[in-house]
Formats: sequence, C-alpha cells, structure tokens
Amino acid sequence: MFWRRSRQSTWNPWSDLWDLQDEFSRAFGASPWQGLSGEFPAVNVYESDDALELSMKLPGINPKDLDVTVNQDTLTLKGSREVDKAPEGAEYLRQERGAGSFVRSFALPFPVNTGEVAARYQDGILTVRLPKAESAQPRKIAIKAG
Amino acid sequence: MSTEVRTVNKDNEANVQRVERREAVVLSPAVDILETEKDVLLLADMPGVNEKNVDIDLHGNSLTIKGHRETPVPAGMELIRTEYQPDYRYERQFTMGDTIDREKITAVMKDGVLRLTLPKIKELAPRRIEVKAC
Repeated sequence: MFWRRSRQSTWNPWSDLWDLQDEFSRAFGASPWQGLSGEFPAVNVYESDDALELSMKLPGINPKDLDVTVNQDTLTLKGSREVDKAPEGAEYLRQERGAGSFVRSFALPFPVNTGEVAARYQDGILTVRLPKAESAQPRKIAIKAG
Repeated sequence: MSTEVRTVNKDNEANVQRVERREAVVLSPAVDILETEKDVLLLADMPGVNEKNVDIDLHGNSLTIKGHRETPVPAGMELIRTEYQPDYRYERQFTMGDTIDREKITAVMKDGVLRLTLPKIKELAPRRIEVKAC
C-alpha cells in the first residue's frame, strides 16, 4: 500500500462515502476505530521536510499499555485497552466500546533518527513523531557559476 | 500485519487548501451505558476532545453530547495518508428516563473518554391512599 494523497485529488468519487464510513461501520457491527484499510488503529500520516508524524485515535488507554518500537525501517505499535471496571451490580444497557489488544507495524519509507523518535498520548490521540535521518532530508544544492 | 510506506509525488498546493476548507464530519461516538441501583453511567469515546471542547446539553428528557478537536493538523505538516477523516466532531443524542435527577449529573473527560454519571431520583416512599367511607 502506498502512502499517497489520493483522497485529496481534485475529483474523488469516494470522498462522500468515506465521510460516512465511521457511521456505517458502527451500524454493521465493525469496530468504529477501524480505518479504511481495515487495520486497527486507523492512522493518519503527516509529513514535513524533516519529520513524519503518525496520528491515531486510541481513546481511554493507559499509556503504560502502549508500546512503540522502531527497528531500523519498521515501526511497531502494540497496545491494549482494558474494559472499564463496571461498578458492582451494574447492568450493561449498551456496550459499543471495544476492548482488547492490537499490533500494527509500518514499513518506513526512509531512514529515521531512531534515538529521537517521540510518542505522545493526549486526549486519547497517540502521536508518534519520527525525525528523518539527515540523509533523507531534502538538500539544497548550490549552483556555482562556471 | 504490515503496511508498506512510500512517499509518492506531491499534489499541488490548491488541493491541500481544498482539504483544509472541508467541513468537519460529524461522528457518533461509541458508548457504553451501565445502570446500577443508584445511577446510570454513560461512557463515550471521543478521541481528540478535551474537557474544554465538550458540551453537554439537557433539554427536557433529551441529553446531547457534543465535542470537537482544536487542531487536527500538526503545524507545518502535510497530510500524506488518510485512514480517518482528520477534521471531525462528535454528536449524539439520548433520551433519559424520568428517574434521572437532572440537577446532579456530573461529567469527567479523560484520555478522550467522556464519563457521565446520571444519578437516579431517590425512590419516593410508597404512599398509601386511604379510602374513606362517606
């Protein structure tokens, strides 16, 4: 699977359907967390000249239960979400929120500075920032007058 | 379970702006609702929403929870792969029973999960109506 901006092209016949995707996946019993690729967690990827940033919706997770590993060109995310402890005598009237463990790995398109990879968990969003190795950053070549 | 990653040619600037202008998609948060003898507990997954951006509206028997994100796109970065709509907000409406004590509803937001406690009105003591003979 390529990482590209296909959904941002000028004309995209799928864009409206894609907006409804979360709704439908709930209606038909799939995890509302899953992205279009079907993998969990769904991830959005951002890029700048010097870094790559992965953003994932992972509400209600104890950061201790999240494990992010970078091994050369592979990023692996492992984690689990516990079921909230129900008070004694409680009866579930509705249970839609998922629980369990997950693993997802990503092949990175360029070398990263493994020592500087940073992960942040805030408001239920996990953000992993991967600074590009110098060799992967764009370099301006000065042109000498002949 | 792996996803190959490659950066391919970048689209032009106009398309990027087009995406930023797009209106936030409205999602319905997944919820758990539990009932105990004393109260009803509602848990809603709203990742990206913090206590400042969540709204709880009570209108008669109707309870509406709403939440939005402040900055979906990191500054100076470009979205290159999208598996979920980055600009979204949450909204969902529930109907409460008459047994809920509206004045005592409390809410806590933590790690993108909204936890609402809806206490029940203390059971009224059973009342016996005497029938008098005329």
